[in-house]
Amino acid sequence: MKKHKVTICTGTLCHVMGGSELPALSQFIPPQYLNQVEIKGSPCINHCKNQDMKPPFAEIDGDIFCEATIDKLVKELIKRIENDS
Amino acid sequence: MTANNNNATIIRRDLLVRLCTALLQDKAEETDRIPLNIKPKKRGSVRCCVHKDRAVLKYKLMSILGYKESEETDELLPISHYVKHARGIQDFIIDVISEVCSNCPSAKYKVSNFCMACEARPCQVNCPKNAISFKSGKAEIDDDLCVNCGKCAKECPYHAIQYQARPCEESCAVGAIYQDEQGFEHIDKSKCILCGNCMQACPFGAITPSSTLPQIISEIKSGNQIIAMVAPSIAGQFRQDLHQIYGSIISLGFTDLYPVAIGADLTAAHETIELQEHIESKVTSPLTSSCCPAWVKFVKTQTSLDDDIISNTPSPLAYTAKIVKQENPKAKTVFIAPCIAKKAEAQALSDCDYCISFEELGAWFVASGIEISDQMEYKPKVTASLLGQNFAMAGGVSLAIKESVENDCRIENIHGLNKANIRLIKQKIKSHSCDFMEVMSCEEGCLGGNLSLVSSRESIRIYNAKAETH
Repeated sequence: MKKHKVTICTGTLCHVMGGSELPALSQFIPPQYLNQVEIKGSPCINHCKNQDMKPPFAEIDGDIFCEATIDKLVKELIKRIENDS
Repeated sequence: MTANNNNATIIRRDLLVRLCTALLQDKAEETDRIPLNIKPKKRGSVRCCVHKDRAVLKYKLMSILGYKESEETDELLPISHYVKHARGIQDFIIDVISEVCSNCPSAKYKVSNFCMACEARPCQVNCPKNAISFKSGKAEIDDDLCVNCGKCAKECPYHAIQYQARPCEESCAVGAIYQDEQGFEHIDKSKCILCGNCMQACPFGAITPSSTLPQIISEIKSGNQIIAMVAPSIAGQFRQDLHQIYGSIISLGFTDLYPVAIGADLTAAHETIELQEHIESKVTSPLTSSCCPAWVKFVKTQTSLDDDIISNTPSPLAYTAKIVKQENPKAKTVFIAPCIAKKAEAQALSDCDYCISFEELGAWFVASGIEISDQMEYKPKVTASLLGQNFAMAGGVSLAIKESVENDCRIENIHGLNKANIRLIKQKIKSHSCDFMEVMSCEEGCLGGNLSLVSSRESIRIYNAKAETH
């Protein structure tokens, strides 16, 4: 089964600028989809150097998401999983 | 509105980060660009136009630097002028910035277009003050008669009656924030207990606390001995190990670090003795904790409560600051605190020179490019017991006392100084239904401090996860 890879920035900047709850993402993903998602935290994923985008940052399958919220990431993941089938 | 998850909070942090960056690089002039960088033309505006948004940011920065907007004698003076003459905390730690306040209309119930002027008219029938009429064809509320009970809104089957709120006033449990004739909010300092509720509630971020970061950074740059005293609730602010957080604080340029939990151990010991004496003296009111400065100020501002109910035991900060100054008489001390009330307490203590909040600490880390997980661990010379560390939690003081008090005693703990809890506290004091009462102004105690980087829920989760591994 195809797994969608989520990388959450756990760096200090993203933590301070509103991303402190993102590491809890897995608790908000519908249980039936959990086995199709792989979540990992990573210190600074370097998007904060780009002044045009606002933190906090996350990546799904390599695509960047700025001003990330749990809601935004969950919606995107469901969309991608439902597209697979 | 979640206190930690809204743009007003994020903008306050963004301002702190940018200000701190300029201070660290000795580039005060750069601060003049902060409003332009945060609000570039292409991104649109929140208020009437981008220029107003930028002016608002200037006044927020002035407030951080210790200047009221009313002190702005020359509007052409740039932000960098105030940065070069930063004043730190003045007599006001929080105030409403009129330029930022949006003159919210007064709180009242209003009938919307959804009103169907139905036959049942339960709004009119159930109104205890006969404030509702149907002169214009749909329901109308007579503001002079209405007492804001909300029955009409609850009764309306179309949800046509809405409550128009004024968030700051609603959040204030002591009626300290009021509107003047022009519609701007002001804080009555004789009533304000510095609970910080209005700051968290204002959707426009009109209440921005002052900061002593410029002074602290300049002390460090001059090579002065400067010591951090860190509140135990820091453990709930960052996921990393406590010693790594300490290491990160040392990396900012502090010469040494003391956990305030060592003072908490002394507070607990002294509080226990005081409580035993209190019980033996057969006083007819409970003894209440003295750790939370907002609670202490609350009791002092309430005529219905006797000041004697607050214990005379010094707070963990007072003990810690005394020890640090005794051991290092030449050093400047900086308290790293969870909330506004603690900032005020620190300012009043002669042993404590400066105080910054967790939020300011986070901004400082970001501005310094410090990645906590990359930092070396730092183990302080003196360590506290687990009970002292637990002062971070709501119920922590009670827990420490329960462990050591000899007499049988009834202990209560209440956190969150809202209107309902205030009624409850007064009732418990009056009926003497407990011997000791721990009161914390913030929900979840210091872990939920109003200048935290994370929500109280998340802070507890982080704190408990660490407690399990130890």
